[in-house]
Amino acid sequence: MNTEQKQWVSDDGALVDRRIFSDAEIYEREKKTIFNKCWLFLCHESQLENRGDFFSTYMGEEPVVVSRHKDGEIYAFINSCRHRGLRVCRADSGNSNSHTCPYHGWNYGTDGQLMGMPGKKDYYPDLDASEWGLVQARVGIYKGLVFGTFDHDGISLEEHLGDATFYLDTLLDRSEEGMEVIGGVQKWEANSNWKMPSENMVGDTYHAMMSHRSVFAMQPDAQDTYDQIQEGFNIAIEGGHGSVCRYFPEGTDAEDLLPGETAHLEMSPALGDAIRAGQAEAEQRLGSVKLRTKPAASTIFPNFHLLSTVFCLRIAHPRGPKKSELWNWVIVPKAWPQEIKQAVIDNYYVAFGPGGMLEQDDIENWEQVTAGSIGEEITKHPFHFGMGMGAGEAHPDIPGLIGDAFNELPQREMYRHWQNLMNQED
Amino acid sequence: MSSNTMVSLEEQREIEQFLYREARVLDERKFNDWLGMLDGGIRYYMPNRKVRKPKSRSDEWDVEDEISGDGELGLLSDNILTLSMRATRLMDGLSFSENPMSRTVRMISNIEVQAGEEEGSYKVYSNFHLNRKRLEKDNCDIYGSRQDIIVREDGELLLEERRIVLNATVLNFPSISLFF
Repeated sequence: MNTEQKQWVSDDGALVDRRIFSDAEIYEREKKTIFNKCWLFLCHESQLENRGDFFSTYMGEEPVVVSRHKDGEIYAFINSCRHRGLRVCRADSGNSNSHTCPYHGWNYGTDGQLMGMPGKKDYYPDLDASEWGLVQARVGIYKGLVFGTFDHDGISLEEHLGDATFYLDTLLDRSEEGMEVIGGVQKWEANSNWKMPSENMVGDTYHAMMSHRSVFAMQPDAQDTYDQIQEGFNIAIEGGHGSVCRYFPEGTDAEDLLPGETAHLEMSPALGDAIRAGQAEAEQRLGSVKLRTKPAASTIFPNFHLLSTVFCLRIAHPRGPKKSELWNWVIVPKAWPQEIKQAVIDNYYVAFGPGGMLEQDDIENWEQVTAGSIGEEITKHPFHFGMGMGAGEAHPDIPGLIGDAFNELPQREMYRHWQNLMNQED
Repeated sequence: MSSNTMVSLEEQREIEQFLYREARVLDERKFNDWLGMLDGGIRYYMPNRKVRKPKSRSDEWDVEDEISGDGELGLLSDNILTLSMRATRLMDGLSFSENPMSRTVRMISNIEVQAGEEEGSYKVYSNFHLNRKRLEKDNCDIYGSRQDIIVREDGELLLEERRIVLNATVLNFPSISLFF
């Protein structure tokens, strides 16, 4: 499969082979061309405030420790001892001066460098420690978001994000103090291919009216929010990224520009007040155009997602072709008082995360798509991504290719980008 | 157990029967009946759990140190309003994560009843095993422990507080659509 150009996605993106959601051989290729190459989200900088702070995560299926070293820099390295492969860090997060393998005691610094091992002088007189550190990822940070890649000579993080930074800024760059994530990560498994959450959040406004009608039936406010989202755009951003996003004209009522769900602002007046209080500074930093840009769901290719209006960051770690591990964080302005942060968390629980009344039905669907991508006969019949063909104009104010809320432009562009990467050499 | 937290055999049995009835009502999907067993001021929450490193060589590995606390991200935090919404959603047939609905068997065990801080209240510890099957063959087994506060109002027992702690740090099931 090295040089032969494979076609799973039609040239116009309108037809996508079902096997890309289930096939083991395709998944093996994704490991090489996507997860071993792309910039992948690791964590938020606020999780590594102090020297020695670490966070355990994954790049694809490989366990990675992200750590703040005594030089103040953030390092990421594969959590696998160079001697016999054990995980040298066995906790989800914490603070440590070094990481020691439980088997023979090889000891690594918080930058991943080999510091020593029992009997170094006697048993390893000639070993060059600088050659035997933990395997490093290249780290990049964008406004607090920490990413890593195993492609040490590839494009920069800024190049990878490209025009997506415009949409990230609307959440990340509203205040001088910046953002922080609430302590803890929700983690759970789903029998879904990792691309389903990406596809869903890259530009699927369409699903909500069916998938989430149980919530709309109970909560008129949620229906209002969805009605507003339908007036927005599905935006394809170069690099396989995309966003379900509203863009409000100049002169829009200030209340409509607040970066939260209307329902939540009403449920928690104090939260509404806190958001309102931050608007002047946000406008100063973002400028009028970004202030009037309100993404609801976004995907940063390949597997990082943001739900900006509920203050949620998320990643879908691949676990084989038919399984993912979903990790969700809640991100809030650092300067907010604890009670406001708590209001954000409480609102989030109701809608998203494993217990969220919106999220539960999304995951069910992603699992069923995956189940529906298996079978000798059915996989001869591709999925239809042809809604709103021809969409994709440039917009005078905001970046990306613009479609209205009812087209699958971002999905088509995401899968075309995916196919391009899959056809590159290892 | 110190004498001031002791309850009578009759009370112990009454609480056990309350928890067994609750489990049966949920397995039978009689969600309105379940809501009727809750105090209007109920706090129903599920913290998150993590794998942590030892604090020192003499760390006693207190379970509470693995469990998310105030100000941290848990998994659920419900009141009577949000529990009613969740129950309505299960029953209205519009949510395909529970349509067709899960088939559940709850086993409740290790029930330990102590007198609560307030007159007529009980602090109750229990473990659970929830087997969930859905559609043709989807299956998962969920294990955890609970700490409840059960109160007596006008002679009737009501659940006033429940903390649910799962044994998993990475949940082995796609959604928390059920009650524990």
